[in-house]
Amino acid sequence: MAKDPSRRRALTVLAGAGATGALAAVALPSARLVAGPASGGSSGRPWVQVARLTELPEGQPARVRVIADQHDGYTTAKQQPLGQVWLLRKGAEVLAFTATCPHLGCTIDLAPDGKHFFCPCHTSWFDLDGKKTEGKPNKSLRGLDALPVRVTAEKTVEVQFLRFQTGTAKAEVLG
Amino acid sequence: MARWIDDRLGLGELVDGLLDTPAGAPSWARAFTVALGVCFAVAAVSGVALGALYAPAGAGAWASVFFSEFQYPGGWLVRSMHMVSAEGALVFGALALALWVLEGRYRHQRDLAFWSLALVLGLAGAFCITGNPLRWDNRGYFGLVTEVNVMSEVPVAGGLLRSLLLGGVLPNNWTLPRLYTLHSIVLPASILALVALGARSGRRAGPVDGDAPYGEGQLGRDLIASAITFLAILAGAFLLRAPLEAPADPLASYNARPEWYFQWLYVLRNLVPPSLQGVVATGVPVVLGGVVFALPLLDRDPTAPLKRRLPFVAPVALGLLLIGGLTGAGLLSDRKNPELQKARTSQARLDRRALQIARHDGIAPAGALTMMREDPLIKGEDLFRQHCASCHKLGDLGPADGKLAGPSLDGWGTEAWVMAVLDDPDSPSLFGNTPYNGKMPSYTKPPKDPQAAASFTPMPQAQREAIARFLANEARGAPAGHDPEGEKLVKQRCTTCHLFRGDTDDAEGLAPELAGWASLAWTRAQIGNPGTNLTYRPIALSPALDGHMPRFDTQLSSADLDLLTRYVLFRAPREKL
Repeated sequence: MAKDPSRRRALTVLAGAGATGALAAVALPSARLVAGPASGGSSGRPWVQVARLTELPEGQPARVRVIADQHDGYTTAKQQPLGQVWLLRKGAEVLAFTATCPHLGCTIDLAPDGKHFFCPCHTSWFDLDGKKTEGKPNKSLRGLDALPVRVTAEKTVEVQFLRFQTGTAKAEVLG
Repeated sequence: MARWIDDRLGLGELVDGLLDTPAGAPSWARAFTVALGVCFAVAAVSGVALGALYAPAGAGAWASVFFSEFQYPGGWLVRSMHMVSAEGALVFGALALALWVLEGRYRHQRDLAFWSLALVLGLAGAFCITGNPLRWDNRGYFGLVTEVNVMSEVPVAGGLLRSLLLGGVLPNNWTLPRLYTLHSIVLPASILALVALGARSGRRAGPVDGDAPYGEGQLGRDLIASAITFLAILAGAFLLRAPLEAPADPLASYNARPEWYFQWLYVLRNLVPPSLQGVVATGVPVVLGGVVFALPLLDRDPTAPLKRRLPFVAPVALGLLLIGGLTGAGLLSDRKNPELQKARTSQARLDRRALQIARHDGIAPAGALTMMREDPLIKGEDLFRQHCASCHKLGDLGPADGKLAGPSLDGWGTEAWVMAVLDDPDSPSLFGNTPYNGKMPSYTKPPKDPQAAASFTPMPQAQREAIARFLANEARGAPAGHDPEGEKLVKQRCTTCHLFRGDTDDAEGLAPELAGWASLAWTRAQIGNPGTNLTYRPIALSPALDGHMPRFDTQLSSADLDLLTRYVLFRAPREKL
């Protein structure tokens, strides 16, 4: 067959367009699938019981585990430890802070002096009310993240276990 | 046979053609680019083997890596080669890139090849970020958490990037399949595409300087660079072991530190004030990318000698020196950080325990984290830390400020502990800081009251030893009647105040039951409820004795009480008061 440039060009364009179309037809639903679990997964903000008021010593922080049903991707497990919370009782009131450092997400400990919160990863100090300790090193842009907390009529302490964006000056709830 | 193959494939022709290809002046930049290929080849071969043994899911990941490291003959060597070649790719990639800049190789229409090489180096970093967490131990897990949190500080795209990488805001069940897919399919395919791109554009550009064929100059340098690289990988693989710490526990207090190749970023972030950390997270990739992109566009004169190119070469050299210096400074300051070293010691103990359980008991299908959480030693320690350590000392556990509000349990249940109580019950490490202070007299020292002191005679050493021996045997669960002499002595000398099998001369008193003291049953009863007469008396829980040990059967499950009891009884005799 004689060379026919216009026919060759037409076929090239057709092949290119066809391949692009076919690729898009596969890639678009695939991309949605990959993005799917990344965006979903929020299940409200349930109150979780974490302690009894009488267990909490006055003015001394206590670390408790948040135990609740865990919906993790394709599995669900009953009553799993989801994370840790620091509780500080002041009379009938309770303060609750997530034990996740607002800087980069390490676990907040009690400082050796027992009078501060402390993150070992970047030696950040926080007062017991969650504020950054003045005069001590701190790499975080904000104080500890307080959690919504309530004491029920039965004197149990309940929190909403929220996660926060790290590294920002303002606390920003994730999920 | 060789001829048969050659007839069909023309390999000889292919090799001859390659050796005759004009390659121009021999170049170390090109040689070390080939060496980078050696790193990737080793990583690819070992990676296929590791992938064949790997389970990309939370429950199986650690267990499967444990298997390939410890149970499969030579598995550790494959893992080590994989790790060393991957980290070697970072070193040799940076070296190759530096040599490209030094030689100005990106001139002569090799800009695209240079950019490809830089992207390959970036992907080598992505291989490390996606590869380290695959073993799903604490180091990999917390490394991932900090890395994605840094990433999420990048404006606009940061949060999206984290969600895509993790399949959520925190590592979850979707995370390992994602990382594994990236690590074993997406990234290798991208590298291959970039290599094809770079090679194609390099070949089109032709020889850099002169017509020397590849076989007569470049080949030698390629061989030398490749041999150095390969031998370095091999030596590293035998000298270094790929890490496998305790299984990832999101609730662990882990003192995370970046891997050595990210230390410079960590130090850099620590140097700037907190408000600028986000700027570093965004700025560093932008600056690095900008320099790599700009160099071929600015440094264009193909004939310029090195001296005239110094304005371009010097900043790159300085940047590399800075990165090297920051890395060294970071590693050095970590080594001198006592807090970190202490944390590492306690982490190492957990790591050893994990391997010990995995070796002895195996790992159930529920996975390695469940294995850890159900281990009596680990869970017992956890329970003790949570419920007991604010008052009692046991080994390295105890009140944060060191002030005991209850007796030290170091050596509890042993002769030595009983001897110490008979000598000085009000010592701060015994009952000195409890409501029992002053309730029991010393049997070796006279009381403070001069009248009472006048009639005081110390208990003979032999008697004290006999009582201590008797009680220590009770603690070990000796059968009734194991030591009639000792029992007689206890009934003579102790039941004025103490209970013994329910009998006492002081029905209104406080002193606890001595029969079965510190045994499994006694200890279990004491932790559950110290006011039942089985151990201490009901008055122990009254407000009059404020500061006495509370009951735990209202807070802990029966299984946890058993576990805690066993933990205390396992550890106490192994610690020295």
